[in-house]
Amino acid sequence: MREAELEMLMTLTKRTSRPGETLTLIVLAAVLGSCSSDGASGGGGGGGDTGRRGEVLAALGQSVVAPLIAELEAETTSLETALAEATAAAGGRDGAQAAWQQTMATWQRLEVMQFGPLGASREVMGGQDLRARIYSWPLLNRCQIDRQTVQDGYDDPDALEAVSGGPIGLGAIEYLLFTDDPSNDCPPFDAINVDGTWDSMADMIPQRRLDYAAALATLVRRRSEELARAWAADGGNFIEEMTDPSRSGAVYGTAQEGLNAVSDAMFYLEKETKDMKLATPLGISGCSTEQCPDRLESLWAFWSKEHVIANLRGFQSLYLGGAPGDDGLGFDDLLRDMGADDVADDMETALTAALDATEAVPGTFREALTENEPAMREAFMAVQVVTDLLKSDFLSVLDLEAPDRAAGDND
Amino acid sequence: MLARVRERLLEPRDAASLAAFRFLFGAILSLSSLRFLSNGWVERFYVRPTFFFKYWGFEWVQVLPEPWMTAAYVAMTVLAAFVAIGFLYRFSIVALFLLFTYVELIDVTNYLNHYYLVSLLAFLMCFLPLHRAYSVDAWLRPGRLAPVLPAWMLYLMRFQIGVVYFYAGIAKLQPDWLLHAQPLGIWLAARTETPIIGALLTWPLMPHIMSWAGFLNDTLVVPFLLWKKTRPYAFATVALFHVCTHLLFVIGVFPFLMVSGATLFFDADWPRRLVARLRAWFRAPPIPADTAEVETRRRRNTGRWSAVGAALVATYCVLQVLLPLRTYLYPGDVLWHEQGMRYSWRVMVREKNGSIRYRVRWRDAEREVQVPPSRYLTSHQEREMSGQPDLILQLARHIAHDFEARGHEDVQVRVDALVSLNGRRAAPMIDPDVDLAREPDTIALMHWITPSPPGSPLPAYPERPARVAESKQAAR
Repeated sequence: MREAELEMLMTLTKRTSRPGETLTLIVLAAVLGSCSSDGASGGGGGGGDTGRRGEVLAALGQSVVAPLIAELEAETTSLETALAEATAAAGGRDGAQAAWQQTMATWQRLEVMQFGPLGASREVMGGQDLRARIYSWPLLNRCQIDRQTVQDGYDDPDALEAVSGGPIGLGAIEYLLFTDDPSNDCPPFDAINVDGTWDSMADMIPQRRLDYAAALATLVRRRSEELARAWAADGGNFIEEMTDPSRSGAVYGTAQEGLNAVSDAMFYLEKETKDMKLATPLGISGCSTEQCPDRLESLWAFWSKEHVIANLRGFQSLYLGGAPGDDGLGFDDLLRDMGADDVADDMETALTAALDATEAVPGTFREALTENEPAMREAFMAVQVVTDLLKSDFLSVLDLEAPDRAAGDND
Repeated sequence: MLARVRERLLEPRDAASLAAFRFLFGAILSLSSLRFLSNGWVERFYVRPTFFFKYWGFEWVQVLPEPWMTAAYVAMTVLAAFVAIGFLYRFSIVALFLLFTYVELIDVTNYLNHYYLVSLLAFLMCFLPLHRAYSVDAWLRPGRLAPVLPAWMLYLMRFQIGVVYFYAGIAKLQPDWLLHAQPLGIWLAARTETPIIGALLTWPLMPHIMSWAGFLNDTLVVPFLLWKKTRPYAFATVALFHVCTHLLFVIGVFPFLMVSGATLFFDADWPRRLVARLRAWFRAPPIPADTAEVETRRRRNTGRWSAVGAALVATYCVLQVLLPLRTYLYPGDVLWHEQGMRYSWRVMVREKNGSIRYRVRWRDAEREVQVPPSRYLTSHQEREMSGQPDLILQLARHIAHDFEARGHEDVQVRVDALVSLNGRRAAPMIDPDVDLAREPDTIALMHWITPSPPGSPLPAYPERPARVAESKQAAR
């Protein structure tokens, strides 16, 4: 409320003889004053004590997400180096493939942490769309990769990235690095098949795929560095959104909003991991045939199982505040603070069970679909227990909103 | 006796307080519609969804394609502003009522108690000449100026506001709220960062204090507002209460609407006295009162007694009293089964989250398939549906129709619904063996809703000292 308004009300109060009317005027002042705030919906400048939830948010930022981003930066640098070596020595894909797997192990843990700069700018607060430029699954246009493969032009990664809708990221690298298929994924009427370009370059395709993958690795490394800069205190300083969310002009405004952003990201386990990576290939949902093996995440490296395991580990590290046995402050501590020890224990047990069940699937997921479907179903059911807890008890006890639900009013 | 009642109801009352309420109501709704537009909620609530939950009896209401939904909100913004200033009032309030009620009837997941209240108030205002004083209409056509209105109009509006408070209080008369201070305990623990009052929320007794304060406020505020001696204190309490709810919760214009409604309980001439006081403060000359004119208009405008009109008003009032009571026709905890929950002013009394899965089977199918609600719903709709069995039924029936449309026969739809109420451990809310595709969507007792889970809700402490986390750190 403005000073003049306050002064006016004070004067009116002084001139009012009856205490009831005085009280009314004071309260009216409070109502008018409250109109200028925007409730508890964040927006920055809350200025309150972030308390326990603030400590957890800061711990998750400093001890879980930031180290993982640094790890990704290192892994993508190794991947770039390994691919550069592979392109120089024809036939030496093994080192690059191992580097890709190593990178994906880190990346898939970050998949469940798509808040802040990693997130989509239209969907999450502080989003900078970096995820889409590092790993765009399930979007991948293989035909476009094949077209680009024959067109060459990988010397300039910037030009490559500038191609609108062009395939980039770790998904494209997987295809280029792991496929041995001499054919392409374009329809017969596509130019590269009609004019015979693809067939005429058959001998060159393996090397071109490596060259293309190497260029994409450079782009991924750059985006990882950009992500690290966005979080760094001397860069975009997103870490401050986690350590001091209630400062003036902050993205979240309150620690609760920040935690809600983290829990929104954790819902990756529900939609992507459980439904898309497990239920759909298994034919449990979103598949019109008995099974949909072509909907597995990793179609060329056959690394889908490892991706799910990494998703679960990423989720677990957010939940516990670190790896089991080395965990700091996490959501489990907030649940216990609220007196919901049983929920905290059940969630922890369910996560361990989900990891055990997924690791127990013999071979790759593709193999399991034909030879050990019950084992893969067990993994799905175990992950489902975690997501059931997430959507019910977890949200209720911590008063968190499901993703995309925070907008709108209640009563 | 009846004659005295009639006389009392037709007694002339200063039109100023109703005019002030008209202004506040219109201004709040205009800003609310503008906020809806600027937040992009038209797209979120009306364009993005592909399936809409229907209100019983209003299944025929359909969403309009864009840009018509945006146009509806733009129109509401303008119409509400017209209502506020009393311009083309009759047309504006009727159009506003119809448009507002239409957009609210499109999807049940958008139901809010205060939207329902807005519809009711707008409906009543369609029949009340609230533009006869302090309005552009009266200024343009002085012949229609009426400084007084019959008392029943003010009483009717007070009644409507009173019903909301009374039933909101009754809704809190249950163990979760009064004994366990839930869901406030959960909500307050997440709001300790609230400026000014945040620190208070860490006090262990605060959830209980606020639960009881809310209950007492809702149940007692109307009598205290009606009694002149306590009125200023009661109004102060109302205002303070709603300032707190505004600061703590995202409940839109509800607090402003209720504070505005509370002004109706002041003497009908309160705006005139306030203006006089302000003029005195600014040392401006007082407005001369034309008592003769006022008296003349009093005689002319206090209205005539109409038996039909009185019967209609009485019917409306009885309906408003009875409608919230229908929930007691259904056995069990209304917060769990939600039958009779809507239109009964159970405002902010539950924290409910659930995980809902549909299992679909059809003739010749080798096994069941799972259908996640997200295939048909937005996140907002899914979250709202997850605690409301009748909406779970609606989607089950829709899924069955969808599968049948794709050529499957004898489609069966079952539901796994794990729901947590006020921090209780999640429990099945729907009988997982019942084929919901065969269940009728009526207001009859839904036998397939399981009994509410036994036991108490989560204990309402604010955040306790983090013993576990501390021991974790100490162990390292």
